[in-house]
Amino acid sequence: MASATGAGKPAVSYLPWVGVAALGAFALATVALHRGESINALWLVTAAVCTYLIAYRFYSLFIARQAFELDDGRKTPAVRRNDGLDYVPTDKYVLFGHHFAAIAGAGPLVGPVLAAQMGYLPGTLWLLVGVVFAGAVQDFTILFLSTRRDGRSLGDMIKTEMGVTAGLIAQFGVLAIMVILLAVLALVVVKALVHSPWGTFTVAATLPIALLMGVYNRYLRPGRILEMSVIGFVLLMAGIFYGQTVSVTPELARYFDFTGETLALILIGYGFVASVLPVWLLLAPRDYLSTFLKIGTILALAIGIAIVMPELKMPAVTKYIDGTGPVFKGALFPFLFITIACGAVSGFHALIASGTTPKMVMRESEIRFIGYGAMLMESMVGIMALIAATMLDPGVYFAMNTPVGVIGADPAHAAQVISSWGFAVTPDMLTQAAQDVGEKTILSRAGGAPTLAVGMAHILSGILGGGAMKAFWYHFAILFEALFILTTVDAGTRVARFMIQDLAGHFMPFMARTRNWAANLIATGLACAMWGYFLYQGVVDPLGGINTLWPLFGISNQMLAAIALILCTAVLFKMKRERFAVVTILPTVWLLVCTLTAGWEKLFDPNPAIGFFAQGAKYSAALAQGQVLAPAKTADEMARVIQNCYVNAGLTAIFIFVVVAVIGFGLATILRARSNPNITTREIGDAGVLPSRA
Amino acid sequence: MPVCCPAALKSLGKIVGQTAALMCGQPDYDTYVAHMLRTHPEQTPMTPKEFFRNREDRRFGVGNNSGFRCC
Repeated sequence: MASATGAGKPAVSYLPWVGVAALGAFALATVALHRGESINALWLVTAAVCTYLIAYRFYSLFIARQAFELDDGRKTPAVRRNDGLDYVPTDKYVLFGHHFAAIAGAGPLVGPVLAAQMGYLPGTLWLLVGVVFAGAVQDFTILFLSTRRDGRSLGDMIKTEMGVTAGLIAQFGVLAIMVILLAVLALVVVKALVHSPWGTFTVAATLPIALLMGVYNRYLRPGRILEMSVIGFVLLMAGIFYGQTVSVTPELARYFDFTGETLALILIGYGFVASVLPVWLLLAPRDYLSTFLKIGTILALAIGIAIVMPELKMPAVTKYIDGTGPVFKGALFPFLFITIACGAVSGFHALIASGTTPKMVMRESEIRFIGYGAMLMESMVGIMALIAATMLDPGVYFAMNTPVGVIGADPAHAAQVISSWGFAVTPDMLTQAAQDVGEKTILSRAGGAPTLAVGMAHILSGILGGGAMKAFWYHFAILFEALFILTTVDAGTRVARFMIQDLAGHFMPFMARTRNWAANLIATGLACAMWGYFLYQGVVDPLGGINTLWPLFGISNQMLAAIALILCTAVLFKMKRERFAVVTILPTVWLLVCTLTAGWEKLFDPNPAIGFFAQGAKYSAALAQGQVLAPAKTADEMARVIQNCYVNAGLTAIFIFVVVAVIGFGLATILRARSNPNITTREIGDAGVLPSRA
Repeated sequence: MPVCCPAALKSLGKIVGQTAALMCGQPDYDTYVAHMLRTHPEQTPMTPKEFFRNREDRRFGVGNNSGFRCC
């Protein structure tokens, strides 16, 4: 396998690929050069699919054969340590599904929606180029490294390959990133449910449904996941239908009509309870339900786009590439590249690819399909989210995604402000859009989920139910996102708790005892307090919210990717395969340039809309003179803005420190590897430490 | 019942079923039993119920990566 190159194939066998390349180039050129009223989404889909096919067929094959020399003669951990439980040789299609379900989440759905403010073209290009050269390469490489090391985790691999200190720093960085991730995802849910009794009711209904499923699965029919999920799904649909009744019945609606602050507190408390309850009762059943719902909805969206073939109404490129956009501040470089993280490249995948998947790979050559292939699929999900956002009328898009401090809460005023930006929209259009989806208002529902839900409602009602079903599909989409975000929040709180226990255990041995109730409660409480803090500040800070937290999340996520890729590069050097190290060096350097620039700008940019210090200084100066700056309304809010500026700045500084430290350890590792003529990497398995090639 | 190639349909159904279960962290029970009979004939394999609970606890149990999915 390793030596079988395509050299012997007749040239004619490449003809179909020439066709794919030509079609892809034509579609991409159409997407890039089109300057008209609107363009059909199918062009985008064609360009994307052709790009993926070419990249998979040629680039990933090059990496598999030349760079890594994947070798089916080497036994994978699944084969060597087969125990029928954790280590199980698994069919590659089955494993692909497992891996895809684990990497695909809310990330690829939210980022592209926010980035749509710059037009559809920048986001599309980054999704395609990013996945081919960075995201899929990272997933592929980490899965490869972990498979050669008995399925070790990213943190373990950094420890063994780059040293214990590097491992500890990286572990700490991962925890910080996790906290921001949980906060920002919870914020997406809060933004979607504020004063939406219908949405809140359906999400609340998932609790008793999950409890019922949990008991059913534990005592009545253990192990019948599909059966249980079908029952849960039917109940969920009933919940969405009944939610409408709730929303139009004032006596009921008021029990499900919450402010952002209340919702945030409920979520924090819920996160705590859900992650200390026995997993079979709440977490596991909801996990099954949300997994199937997620996969089903992604498939439905793909089919919907293919059938409805929507026109994209957003311009290819808007004026907001200069950094003045209302959804998030910051210019195309570097902020586009951190806003779209998942779908192009996501550091979190390094945790997944070094989790359960490597323990189930049957043959080394299949790592290419699972690692590289699944990430291409996720990129496609990102493209679909971008389509759903850019098919909306740009005026409606901006009304939904601009903070209330800018456009106000009144449709007439909002329409006037947005029209003045050059995106014509009438108050009627905004009210109508809200009515269509069964809500009172759609203004300032930042966070991606509602925008995506409106887009999905357009698409899904186009294939099933027509305009009358739009409100149903909107709430279906909200529920689908809320459900799997909440599952991530619970599971993530548990993971954060284990990380805290592991880290704290280095200093206080008692904390490391995962079966100790006190240690559990302290660690869980800490985890909830940390993400809860950022969630709550995101809700109450007049300037806060998605447009502050999402860039922080993007920066941290891409930094994690950079850390993972530094490890990959260092290991390639230790394997004495440095002539192929450019495969990982290229994305590493790009990610470092983007994230460090973005981090630096978030700290020190003189524009208060971008730099935390500038913003803090501006508000401090005003407060000292007794002024109150919009959008803050009181001196208290001013103080809050200032405090958050410094907290966010501190966090950004921590991220930068972690990355710079890992760069240092990576370079040191590479230098050591170069000065040693032997292969120094520590693989586990029949090959063990390979003999010198020199 | 479709008459066309039932064997192929059956194996497709099996792959889909296994994929769905594994997405939720449940590996194939039959594979496990076969493995146990082959390599540890002296031990009694877990029952389907025990197996399910064992895997569920494993997925959400102790460990940095267990049960986590991406953003």
